[in-house]
Amino acid sequence: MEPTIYSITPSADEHVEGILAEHLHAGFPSPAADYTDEKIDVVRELVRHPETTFYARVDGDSMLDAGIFSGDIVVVDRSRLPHDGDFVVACLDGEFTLKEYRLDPSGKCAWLVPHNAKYEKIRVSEQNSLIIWGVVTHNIHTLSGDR
Amino acid sequence: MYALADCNNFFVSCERVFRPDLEGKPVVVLSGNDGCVIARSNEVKALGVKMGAPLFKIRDLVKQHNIVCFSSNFELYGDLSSRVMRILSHYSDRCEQYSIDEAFLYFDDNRSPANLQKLARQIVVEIRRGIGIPVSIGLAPTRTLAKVASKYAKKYAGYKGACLIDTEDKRIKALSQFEISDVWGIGRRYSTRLQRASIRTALDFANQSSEFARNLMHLPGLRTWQELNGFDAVKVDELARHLTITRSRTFARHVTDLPTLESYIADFCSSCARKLRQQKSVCAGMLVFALPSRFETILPSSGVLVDEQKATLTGGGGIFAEVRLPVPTDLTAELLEYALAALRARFVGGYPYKKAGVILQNILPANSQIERLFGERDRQKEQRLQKVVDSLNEKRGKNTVILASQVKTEQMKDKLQSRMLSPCYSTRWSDLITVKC
Repeated sequence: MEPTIYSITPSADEHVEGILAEHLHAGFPSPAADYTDEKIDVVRELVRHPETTFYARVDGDSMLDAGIFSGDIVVVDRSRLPHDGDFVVACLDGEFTLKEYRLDPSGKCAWLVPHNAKYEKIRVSEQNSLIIWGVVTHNIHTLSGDR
Repeated sequence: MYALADCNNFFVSCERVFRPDLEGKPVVVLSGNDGCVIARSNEVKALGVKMGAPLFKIRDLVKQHNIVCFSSNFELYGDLSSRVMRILSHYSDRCEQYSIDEAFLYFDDNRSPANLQKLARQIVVEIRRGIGIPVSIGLAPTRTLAKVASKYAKKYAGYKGACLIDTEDKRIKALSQFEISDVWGIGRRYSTRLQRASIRTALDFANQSSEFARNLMHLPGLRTWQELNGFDAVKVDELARHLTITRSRTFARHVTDLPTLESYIADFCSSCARKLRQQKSVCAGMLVFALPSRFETILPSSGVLVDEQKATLTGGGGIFAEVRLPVPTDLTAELLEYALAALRARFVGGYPYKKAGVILQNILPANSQIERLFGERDRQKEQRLQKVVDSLNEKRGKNTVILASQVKTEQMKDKLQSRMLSPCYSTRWSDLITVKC
């Protein structure tokens, strides 16, 4: 015998009523009934590869002109190979940083490019310890949150 | 063909995912309460630190080599483990998770072994890049051989993460250099016996007669023998059911009073029983032990003690109780009744206890429960209660409903020494990594 304790929670009740209502009305079935499963799921849209997706909090203003502000949350997919022009989370000399990733046409080095005139771009060559940790796919910037 | 995918130094690797600066540096992860080393990076292994070493014994090494220590963060490890397992399951319909960091994959024969090895290397790269966890894969016709192969893949970089045993030559070569004690399913007890019979390598064992294996180690030994000789003999349902379930702890401070000890035992029973129910099995026996500090290291993980060890233990205040349950059970309250009775019967005051634990043994599939009609206990009623408790704990957090005897340890948990705990980077909004901009 199953314990009955679940049925007294409000959410379960609503659910049961919903199902019952659908089946008890004997008249014309709702044409929308087949479509009710569809819902917009933001996570599904933003996260292609859930296994390899992580989130990170932004601290600093070097990417302001790209629309990435301090306090924003970025979505990082580690399964993607970084391409020229991707925004990446890199680990440079032991610290995580977010920048635009640029390959030098010479092929001898790469650049981590800030989007704020206040900052210099960073040249990365074989002498530096650089790990491209993941490619930033989205930025979540809150305009007006919970009040 | 089977593949065994095994994450290298898993807990350490998990910590490094979010601390890339620790690549190449010595790192250890400590058991609950920061008592013992439960995971070591290669750098630490090279320093000679053994698995299970108590932290206080390696303090000097830690200082000297700047070993970075972490308290164990199972929320983090669990999340990364499930990510690894999900990627693995994309590649095979039969993906059997064997432990937090290992899984067997089965591939049917329409792919050539060479192709499978290539695929395995791709998987290694995908998991390394996508999650950040280094993985080694062994490929072979049986699970036991696949385990052997994975050890080679881990040891020699030349395999590029995937080692394949697909021919008789390779099998013989691999087994001839493989210590018998490292073979899956042999265990410490049997490996000493085998070594006494001058069987040192896996090949020595595989070359014995099947009767030899059976006489010495019964059915499990025969299976191991068959598997090493290339016959697929391990059954999936046996695989999933762990042979023993152990929960134990080395205390930060000595425990001298019975109520505190009881509370710990209650905690262990509750956790063991939960595991038992998760894997849908019951147990017919258990060991309850509490060890004064000077016997701290005496108990091997399987709980098998020779008579003289038992005598030394009990003579010096050690508690070591083998409990046989009249009816196999998976109920927390029932296990606890017996455990506490055994503990109380043997407890003598005046000894400073340093370690205690519970080991469930004689584990059987739950459907082999023969009792239901017998005995005074209303098991159906208790099982209903257990289900409610389990679902509450699942919904509202692990220890929402606990047994009254657990209260004491629950109160102490606030003071639990997990001082080197890393954030839950991948599971909590408040713990995300910070990227400098």
